[in-house]
Amino acid sequence: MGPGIEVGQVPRAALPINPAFQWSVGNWMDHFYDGLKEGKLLASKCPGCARVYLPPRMICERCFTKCEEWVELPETGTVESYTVAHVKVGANGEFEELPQPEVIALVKQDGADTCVAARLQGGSASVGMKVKVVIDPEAESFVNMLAGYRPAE
Amino acid sequence: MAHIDVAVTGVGYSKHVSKRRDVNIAELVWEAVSNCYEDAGLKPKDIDAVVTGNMPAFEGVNMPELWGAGHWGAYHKPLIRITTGGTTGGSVAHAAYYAVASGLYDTVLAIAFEKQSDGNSTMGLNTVALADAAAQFQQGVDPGFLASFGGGAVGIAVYQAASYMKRSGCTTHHLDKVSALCRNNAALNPWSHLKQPGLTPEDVAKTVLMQYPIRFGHVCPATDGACAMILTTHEKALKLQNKPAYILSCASCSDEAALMGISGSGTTNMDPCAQEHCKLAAKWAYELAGIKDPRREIDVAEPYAPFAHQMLMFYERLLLCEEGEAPAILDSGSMNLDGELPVCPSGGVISTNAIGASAMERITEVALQIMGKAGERQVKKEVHKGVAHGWGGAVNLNVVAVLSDTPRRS
Repeated sequence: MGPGIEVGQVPRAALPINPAFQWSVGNWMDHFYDGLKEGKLLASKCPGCARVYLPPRMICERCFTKCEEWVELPETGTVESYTVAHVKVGANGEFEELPQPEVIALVKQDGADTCVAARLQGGSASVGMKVKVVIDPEAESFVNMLAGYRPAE
Repeated sequence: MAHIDVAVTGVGYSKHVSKRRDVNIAELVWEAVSNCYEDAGLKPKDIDAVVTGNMPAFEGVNMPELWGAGHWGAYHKPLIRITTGGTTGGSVAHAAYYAVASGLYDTVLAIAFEKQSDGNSTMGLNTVALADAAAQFQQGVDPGFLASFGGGAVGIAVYQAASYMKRSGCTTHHLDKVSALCRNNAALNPWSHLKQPGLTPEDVAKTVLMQYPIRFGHVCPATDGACAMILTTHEKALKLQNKPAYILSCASCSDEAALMGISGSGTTNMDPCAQEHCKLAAKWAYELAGIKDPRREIDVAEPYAPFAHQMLMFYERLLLCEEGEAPAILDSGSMNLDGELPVCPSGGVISTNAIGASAMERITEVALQIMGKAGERQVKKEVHKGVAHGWGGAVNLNVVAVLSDTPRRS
């Protein structure tokens, strides 16, 4: 440190950079979104080890096989884990209290070997709880077509 | 010093084009990895460890291995990511080499890639030079202008080019000739990006002058692409194929950062074309490889040259001739595919630049030349030894690898 300068007073220069990134979803996820448009939940299946991926993956990470099989999954699934969010991160990076706490659940769809993290309607959750998927083919952004889950009963 | 002879036993490339919208990052890289396994006749179960790398900040995905590991056969295997700017692919390959040479692992997969169309590479470069960029912004310089003026790669290259031309006598016609040579070679390379068969120096001279002395035709494209290679021990390689290529040595050398010299991230005192550290890295690599006279012993060179002047500048800095001689050597035809010391037979970085992959592709291309597997771009002479180079940071890191058809200790 220079003489007499306190850490908090070291100058910082601001950078007005707003980089634009575009994640190419790839053909497998594209097919998944096409399914959602028709209200279908499509998962890719590994022909080598029969592992079922939701969301779909092109390559089976377990056996390095191309997952060229597709299966349509039922709307039902099971909560494997969950959390309850009480705040969200606001536009300035600061916490904002949510008007209502929101449940985010890790759901394993029946017939899938992997989980999806999504908003769970209804205000409460428990591990092992049965849920149903909520698909919104009209969602403004395609990534929101998988809108979340609701309790099965 | 204990050292295990390291062989390149498989090489793979993805398609290299400007925008791969049909695949995500992990899937793009899978193409190269999958081709590499096939080329080596190996499967993921045969791999002991995986090294991967790409530029930070370019795609906005700073842990690509998070998505990629499963796609690349790295499931339940040791995995490390290395990122050193433009030299990334070289550093990845060097790390894989060290892992085998040290005896730690027998067979290592090295992967390097870039998917520039997902991100904003110019902004990525600005984040590399954050301190310089910050100072410029504070002075009210428009970010877009800054990107072309000094923060972007062209901005860095122009000072170097002007300085090199002054020191060497290289003319703009030489720059045009370099582009024509490389793009014609690229036309013979199935995985290259910019294929321009029949391109003449006169065609290049007609392209837009971007920033003196660099014309549009002197600059690399922005590429989506990936490269993979499998390194293994001498003994294992011989069981897989008759003629592996051996990596005799790897060396890297850093220098002081020198961008715009504004705010403590470096200075511009140093001549950006001096590249003394490239000469040091080359000297060390040749010494380790037992090469006494690189001008006679090196049969093919793949310098990392995204800008036309760099092919000549690095030819000199890789100690393949005296300083200032490269333009005349270019004129002599020696650098052509059928020349005495062919340079960039692959078409070079000026034809294909998936940035993170580019320095590894220099190594894989020299390996293919040694194995005699370079297809139409195979040089006409017999290849025993070659040098592969990478350049990164802004001007401050150089990596050099020497490859051979014979292992070090035989």
